[in-house]
Amino acid sequence: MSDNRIGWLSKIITIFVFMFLLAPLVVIILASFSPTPLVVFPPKGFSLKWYGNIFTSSTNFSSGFINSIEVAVIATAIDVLLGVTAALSVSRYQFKGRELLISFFTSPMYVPSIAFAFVLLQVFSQIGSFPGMLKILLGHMIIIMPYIVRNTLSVLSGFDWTLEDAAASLGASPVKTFSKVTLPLIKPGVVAGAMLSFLYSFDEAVLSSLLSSPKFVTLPIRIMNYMEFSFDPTLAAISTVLILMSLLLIILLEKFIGLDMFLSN
Amino acid sequence: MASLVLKNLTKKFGNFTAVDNINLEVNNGEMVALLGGSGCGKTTTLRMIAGFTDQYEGSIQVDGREMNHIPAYKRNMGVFFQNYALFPHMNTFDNIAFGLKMQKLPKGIIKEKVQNILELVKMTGMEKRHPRELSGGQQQRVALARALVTEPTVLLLDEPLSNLDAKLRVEMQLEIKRIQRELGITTIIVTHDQEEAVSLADRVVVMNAGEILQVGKPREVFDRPANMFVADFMGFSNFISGKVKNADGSMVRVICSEKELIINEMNSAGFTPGDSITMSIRPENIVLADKNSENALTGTVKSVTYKGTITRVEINDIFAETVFVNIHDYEGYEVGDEITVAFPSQKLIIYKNLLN
Repeated sequence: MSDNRIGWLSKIITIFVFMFLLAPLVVIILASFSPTPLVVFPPKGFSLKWYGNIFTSSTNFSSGFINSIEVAVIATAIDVLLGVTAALSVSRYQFKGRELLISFFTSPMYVPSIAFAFVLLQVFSQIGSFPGMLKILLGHMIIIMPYIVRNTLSVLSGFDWTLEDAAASLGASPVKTFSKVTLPLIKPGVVAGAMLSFLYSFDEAVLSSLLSSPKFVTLPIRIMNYMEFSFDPTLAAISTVLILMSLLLIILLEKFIGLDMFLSN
Repeated sequence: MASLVLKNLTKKFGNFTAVDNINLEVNNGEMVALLGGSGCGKTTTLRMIAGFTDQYEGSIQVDGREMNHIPAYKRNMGVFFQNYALFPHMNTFDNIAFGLKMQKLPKGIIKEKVQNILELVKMTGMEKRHPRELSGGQQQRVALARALVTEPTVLLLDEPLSNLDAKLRVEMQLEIKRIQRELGITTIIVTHDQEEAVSLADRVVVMNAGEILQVGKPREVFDRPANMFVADFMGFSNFISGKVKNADGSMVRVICSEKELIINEMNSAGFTPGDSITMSIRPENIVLADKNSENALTGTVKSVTYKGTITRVEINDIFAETVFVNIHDYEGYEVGDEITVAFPSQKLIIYKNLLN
């Protein structure tokens, strides 16, 4: 086969992969503008009423959205502190049980979240009155931890620790060494882990469905509740808004941190 | 600029003693090489001086000041790392300015100092380049500049030339020597390369298994190794055993494989007839000669290896041991030929065998 034909083949495959990935998004976005409650193809016109419905619906999407953001931001922030510290200590020092500790930090990934949620629910109900927000926050903190630990560990695996010695020999205290040398170098892994964790927590539904209380409901649970009664394009409208927000987040990250850092190193 | 004193310095890793009771004084402005094979404790010693390794026994003093409880970042020592350890996320300017920024110097002064040191290492104009955009030699110059710009009391160089190709190595050797002389900075250089040690340092410290075997001027260590281990390390690859026939004045007569040789030895009083000895000589100090020359002996050529500037010849049938000879202008002799070589009495060294 000539190089030219391989070139064409790979181009066609690339196009198919992109279509496969993007088609659902396109359908959702198109559906959100449908004037009819039942989504039909091709759409019979154009309407923004479902976007309005997000705010006027009896299901309080906005409060769910705020709750989800709150949980995702706090859980990610705390876990970045804990996870990065954990990853640093297991990669810097050689000690007995090091591998075991790494497996322990990443173990929530391998436990089915429904089983984990069930256990957590039992524990919380034994303790008694526990604010709903705290229940979901604790649950999320545990299940997103592996993403931060793993991503940080992967950038640390090739880390040249003599750089820290070099910084020390030049008069940098341990704190300065961390902030000026270590942290800037492991930032790609930390940011990638934080992003994954944030997104995981933001649309986590299994754990939240068992742990949420009437007073504290996250967005995915609101969406699930809404779906039980109606199947109109309001959900497509919400999805479109979320897709836009993710896009915005990526653009902001690109602008302030630079996503090319994921490619370098 | 400072003097450095190591007293009874010992470092153990579990049951393994990496550095065993080392004593060394380095004078102000002196350049001392720690020379030894891998695992001899030279790098551990350097890391202890820099403050990267804690929990050691003994003491390290700079200008009489005890360093034991002073953390690395307060020791003000310039360290050059074997892999350079340049900060990959900073350009040349920021790498060099790092130490100055830690000292919280004003921006103007930092700029001036960086410019001056860049001039010293001949890297002016490279400020904006990142380490990955520099060649090995350039990275090395930046690393050296970074270690020097803070005006450290002591400069520590860890295998500074090991990552360079042969040509660049000679060039950087001269460069390091020039810069060290120009700044008059007390320097410790760790190396496994005897040629590097003797050409750079004012004094050479030969180490093995955590101990110091010999301390001396390059010439002393190179020409008069204190014992057989040092001799082997310094390139004396011929070790021939024999017995003392007599010792007289500055001469010792020995019998090796029933051949009599004269050896020039200042401490001939240390040898008595019948002593079992080993004599040693560098392959390049053995010369082709005629049969009437001093210490001339005849053997047969076992093998000939052409190595460019020299030819390595192995000769049998002189002693029980094979003799290795490096000859510059080698011609004529084939394997199996008879060959006569002389062992100049000035170039032979002898050691008493400890076991007998």
